[in-house]
Amino acid sequence: MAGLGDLERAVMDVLWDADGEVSVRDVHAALTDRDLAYTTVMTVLVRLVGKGLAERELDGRAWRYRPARSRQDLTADAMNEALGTDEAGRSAALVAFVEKVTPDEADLLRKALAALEGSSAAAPARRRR
Amino acid sequence: MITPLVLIGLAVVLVGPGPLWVARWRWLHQVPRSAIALWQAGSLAALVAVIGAGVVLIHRLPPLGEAATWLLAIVLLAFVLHVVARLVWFGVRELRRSGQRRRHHRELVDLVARAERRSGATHYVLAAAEPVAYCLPGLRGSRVVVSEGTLEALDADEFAAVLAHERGHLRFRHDIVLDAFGALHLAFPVLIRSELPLVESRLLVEMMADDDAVREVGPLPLARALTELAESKAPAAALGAGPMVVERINRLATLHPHRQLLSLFTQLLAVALVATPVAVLAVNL
Repeated sequence: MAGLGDLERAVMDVLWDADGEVSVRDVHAALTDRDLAYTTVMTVLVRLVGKGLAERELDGRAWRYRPARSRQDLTADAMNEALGTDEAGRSAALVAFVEKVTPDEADLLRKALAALEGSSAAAPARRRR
Repeated sequence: MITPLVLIGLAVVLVGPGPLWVARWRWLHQVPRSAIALWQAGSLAALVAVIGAGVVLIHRLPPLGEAATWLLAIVLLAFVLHVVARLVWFGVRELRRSGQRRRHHRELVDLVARAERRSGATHYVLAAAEPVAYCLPGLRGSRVVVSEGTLEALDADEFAAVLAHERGHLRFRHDIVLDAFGALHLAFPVLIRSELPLVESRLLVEMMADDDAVREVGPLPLARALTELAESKAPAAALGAGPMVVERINRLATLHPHRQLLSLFTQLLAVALVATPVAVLAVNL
């Protein structure tokens, strides 16, 4: 079952992976395996423009589309929201696994972990990287 | 006039000095689920006391001509209405705000994150080097989100601990617990309310989810994952939250094998808390 969000993502992926601007026809062609109507692709593109995720420009008689922002930019947005320390971010909206700590607190953490590992703090905790 | 005074006095104690006292009970961290119930009972009892005081006041307005008594009644009633109005207002606002925030964030995640299936469940991976792990609650379409940095920093057991922890949050709707404490916190006037129920409930909810992870992978992978991710970066983003992690790991080292009795005791305490204003009301109505 392809939800609307799923379709928007597929179309955005086409825009992101394209080399430059693309037409509705290009996007439609790139998504042939989904068996979509041409008008569906057009509707999704228009909605993406409405959401500010895509931009378009008239080229002769056809609109040409491009992503408004890169995938990396949007990922950075998501990360910033997830790591947000504003009061709104401290609400239940996004519950982080663990908060980041200061170096002093990190020492306490290491000690607490060492105690749990059942070894002295001097014993090296298992490290990678 | 005595009953409303007693009830409002009880409410003030429950939202002010009461939490100061209860927050010192470290043993509550052994039984986070029951401890949350106790904090909820405290808030609920305060609310029952305030609303009960309002009901009694309206039922037994003082005889005309007693100016002083009337004045007191009006002041108390104003307090009651103030708290109830704030509760409704902030309750609706909090729920709507976190709903909107989550919806917006979920759209973003769905657009850029890679879905990854592991042992029958899906989580979402953001292509970023900085480790992060959190959950997006919701009636439908709840998500566990991590970053590539998290996948790199953790081994399989540790990552399983993170997933179990976040799934615990989602399964038991800890977001609703926190939203409710947030609204209740805002309902009472700044002068008398305490931050503690809110702060403690955040910590206890994490401990509950930790217990879910311990059940699945044991305490060590969880403690390692916590340390690894907490240390990973950005001290600026940490302020004041660090001791929570230390407390969580210390707790893992001291989990008591016989916690059922403690749990039962805490639950009885919770029932007694709510029963107090109810009893005062029952005797006086």
